[in-house]
This record gives sequence, structure tokens and C-alpha cells, in this order.
Amino acid sequence: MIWLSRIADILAAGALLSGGLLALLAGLGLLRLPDVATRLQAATKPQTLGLMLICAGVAPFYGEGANTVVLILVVMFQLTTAPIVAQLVGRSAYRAGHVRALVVDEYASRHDQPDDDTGPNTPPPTL
Amino acid sequence: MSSARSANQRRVSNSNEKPDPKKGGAMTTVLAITDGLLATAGLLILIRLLRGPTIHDRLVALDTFVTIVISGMLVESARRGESANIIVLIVVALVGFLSTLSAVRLMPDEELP
Repeated sequence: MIWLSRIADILAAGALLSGGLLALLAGLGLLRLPDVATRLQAATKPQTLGLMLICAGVAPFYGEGANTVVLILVVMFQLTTAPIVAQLVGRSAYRAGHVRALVVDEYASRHDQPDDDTGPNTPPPTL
Repeated sequence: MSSARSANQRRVSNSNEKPDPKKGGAMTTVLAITDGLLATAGLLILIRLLRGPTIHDRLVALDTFVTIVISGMLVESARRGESANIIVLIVVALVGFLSTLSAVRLMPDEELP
């Protein structure tokens, strides 16, 4: 039974360190990347996965009971809300004109140019 | 089942000067390193928050900073071994999400820098 708890400790330590490294990666990407879209991309994924790993690493410290349910709730909430925030911030930044370096711009052909000859119901361009 | 808590109880119960020389010290070190990583990430995010040229950069930085704060509260309460304020995490997550959402939704589209 002691080796089982040791394995649990090693897993928790790995999860904690990975979560911390992902958070540091989010900070570095947010500081170093050049654009709103790239910063959003760098910030959102470590935000979700890092919090999930830290919750998993912290869970053995809380023992059994209702606290683990609260941790699962925090992770579920973050999983639900992070894409919403990322999509809304990205759309708002696009409308404000801060996203420029796009290869394929489906949003412009569908919404911002209603008199374009590619109408609103044309299929998206092939990649 | 809860190995870290059992390590703490063992430390409290029988020996008082050298608790559990391998496991307790190792987990304390891991928690301290995680705290340091989170603090560094928060510092970098705060630099972006102060420097960010557009308001969207600041919004992304704030939303990420809320997550860093939640992670830091988790690690800190694990270091202290108390779990009384874990309900606050849900409130912090909810308030951060709603603030970012309302800031994005109420922002005008073109005029802001």
C-alpha cells in the first residue's frame, strides 16, 4: 500500500509541475507573440490544460469528499467558459481590425462585404 | 488514499524534528516550485497587461491572469493543508468569466485603439 501512495505522489508531482510549466508557457507566449490572435491561441490552451493538471495534482491533498467535487466543478467551468471567451475576444479583435495576417478569411467574405459577388451562402474556399 | 495528508498526519503524530525525509520534503519542494512557476507566469502576464497595445491584449491577459490566480490559490491551500476556501475558486472563476464577457460584449467595434 505504501508503493501505491508513492505512485500517487509521483503522479501528483508530475501533474503539478506540468501545470506550472504550462502556465509559464502561457505567460511567455502572451509576452512574446506579436498579434492578438496568436496571443489568444497561446493563452487559452495552457489556461485550460494547466488548470486541469493543477487540479489533478492538488486533489490528493484534499482527501476524499466534497472538495474533489468542487475541483471537478472548477475544471468543468473552465472547460465551458474558455472557448466562449476566446471566440468572443477573437471576433471583437477582428472587427476592430487588429487581426491582419490571415491566409483564409472566411469571415470577411461572409459578413463584412454584403455586396461581394461571393454571396453569403457560398461554400468556404478550399484550403 | 490521501497520501499527502497521511504524510502530514504522520509528521504531526510521531516525529517532530524530521518529519518524513523523502516524501514530505519532496512534495513541499514540488509545491514550492509550482508556486514559483505560477508567480513567474503571473508576472509575465502582468507585463503584457501593462504594455498591451490594444484593449484586446489586455482582456486576454486579464482572463489568463484569473486562471493563474485560481491555480495559485489551489497550490497555496494545498501547501497550508487547509481546504476551507475552496468554494471561493468557483466564485473567482465565475466573476472572471463574466467580467471578460461583458467587457467584450459592451465594447464598440472600431473606435478603440
